[in-house]
Amino acid sequence: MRKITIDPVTRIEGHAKITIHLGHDGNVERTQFHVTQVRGFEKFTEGRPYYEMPGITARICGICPISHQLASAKACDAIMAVRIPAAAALLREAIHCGQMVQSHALSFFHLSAPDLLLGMDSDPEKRNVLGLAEKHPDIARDGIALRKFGQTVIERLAGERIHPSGIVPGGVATPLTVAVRDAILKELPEARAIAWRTLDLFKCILDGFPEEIANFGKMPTMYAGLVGPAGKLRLYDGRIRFRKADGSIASEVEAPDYAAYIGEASVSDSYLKAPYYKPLGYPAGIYRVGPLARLNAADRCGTEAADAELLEFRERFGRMVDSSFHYHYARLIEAIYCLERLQELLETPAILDRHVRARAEVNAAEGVGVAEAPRGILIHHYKVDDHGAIQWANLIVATGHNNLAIGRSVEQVSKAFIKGDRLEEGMLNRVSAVVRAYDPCLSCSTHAAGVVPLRIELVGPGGELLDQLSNGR
Amino acid sequence: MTNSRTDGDGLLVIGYGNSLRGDDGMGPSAAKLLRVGGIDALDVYQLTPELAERIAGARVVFFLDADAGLAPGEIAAEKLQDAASGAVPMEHCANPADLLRLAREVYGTSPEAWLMAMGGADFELGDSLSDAGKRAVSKAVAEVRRRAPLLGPR
Repeated sequence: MRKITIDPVTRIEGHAKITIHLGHDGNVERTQFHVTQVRGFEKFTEGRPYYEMPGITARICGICPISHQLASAKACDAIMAVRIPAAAALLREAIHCGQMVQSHALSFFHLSAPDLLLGMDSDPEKRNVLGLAEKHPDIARDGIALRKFGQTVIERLAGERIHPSGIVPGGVATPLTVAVRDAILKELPEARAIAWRTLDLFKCILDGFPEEIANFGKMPTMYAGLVGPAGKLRLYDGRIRFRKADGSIASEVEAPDYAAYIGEASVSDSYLKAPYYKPLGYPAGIYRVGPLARLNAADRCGTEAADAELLEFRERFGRMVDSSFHYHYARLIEAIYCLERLQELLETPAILDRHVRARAEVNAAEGVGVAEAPRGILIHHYKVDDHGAIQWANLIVATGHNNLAIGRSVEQVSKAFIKGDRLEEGMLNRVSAVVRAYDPCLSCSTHAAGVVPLRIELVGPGGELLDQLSNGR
Repeated sequence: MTNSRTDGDGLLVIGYGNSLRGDDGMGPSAAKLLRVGGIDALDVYQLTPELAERIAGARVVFFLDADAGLAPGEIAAEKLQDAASGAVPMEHCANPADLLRLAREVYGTSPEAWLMAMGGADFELGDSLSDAGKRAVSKAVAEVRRRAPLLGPR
């Protein structure tokens, strides 16, 4: 049997490697997705005061620190056994909307648009955001503007764009002023116009990717996402809903009960664990999280324009949309939802209340915080001693939930596109592209700092390296 | 606000680095000092694509960064060029040359730009600068102030 390795995978966050094993007939027999970073945050936070955790765990990631801060702060809220002020909850969700918008803009415009707008087989030297800017400067400008809008929301509401200090145990650090609220509201229409323009563009080019839609992780799995009352999409708070591939609801559970439903399997040759739905066991309990999974899990978004887009999405691809290529589409619908939801939150009078933080000592030995990170469900679970020192921590991160699905998607794409014993850049780019569709953050999933590389290797039946492809790092 | 615009003469300073890795925080530290002095200065964790918009609107840009290869406490200034076509593709974070090219491609202009590198002594975990790092920051701040009025179109 021969083997191909993609190491490093490019335009993702973190380090990963893909190995593709070829049979004697030159066809793909099996694949492996390896995450090659080492985790460590759960261990080295032991002994730290619980109230430091939002600040420490935010450093796991420079792209979605808000998600870590929110999940961590919610776990701390539980340890203090407080109900945070209403204004604080509104502000936390508003900050989260800003983060979702900037992260989804980054994923679409800067990481995946080069594949989608320049072509999967286009010159790899130019298939990046600089090449995109050269050919489509208006689109690149939209990407920069939308990401900047999200970053500005974070900075205005939470203090800093990256690793802000405004999200704290018990609420937020600073009340919202009318001037800041109005400044964001003034900029919202342009951000919404960009999001709509981008979704319209994407819908126009979608028919150009029939093979990718058919082979980019098109498979029956369960989906998991947070939902609120009436099954509405929720990003900051809600119950974890597991929906089966046939559309029926398997379970809907409160965040503190997650461990009864989610198991974590260790995977050989990878530092990334593979969570699974416990009632079905491993690996039958495979499920997906993130934008596509959230839209499948929820009944509706709950905002007007996003619901209209969701309806069109389902009319086009069915109630349960099962191709991971459609993570891109779902991401853009979510961007519209976040902008609408942000406006709702800012126009709620209670968001201006001056009471934004509850204060308490340790009142519970354990706390769980759950939020939807841009890439999917994020769980922080801490146990503390009587003084509030962390005794044990468990983080289950979005990319971890998707580990099994990414692995199967890589195998499906490889079998569909890779033939023979020589590597063509375009076919290997599709293998990387299916990973990018999930927008994985491997720095988050293994809780290590780092950049992005992924490498592909092709190895023959006797284990010999036939060819390899990387981004040069 | 961490990064408010305070100056109108077209000088933009971007200090970048991880302020929790000792002297890697020299860039942000220098930027904060310059901002206090009235210069339009951003202190950021990493370079990201949206900075291209601010860069395109500037007359002169100084990037301030730690350099582990430079003697501790020393500084070195280097004039920057746009990234050539085919450079290492920008991903979640960028380098100054990428951003200059992005500014040119998207906004049609790329200003004169300089990298001010600062030599540090300690890049281990911690939120303070070494004595050498502090010296480098002081020198970089003074050098940016000295050079800025002499550079770029007026």
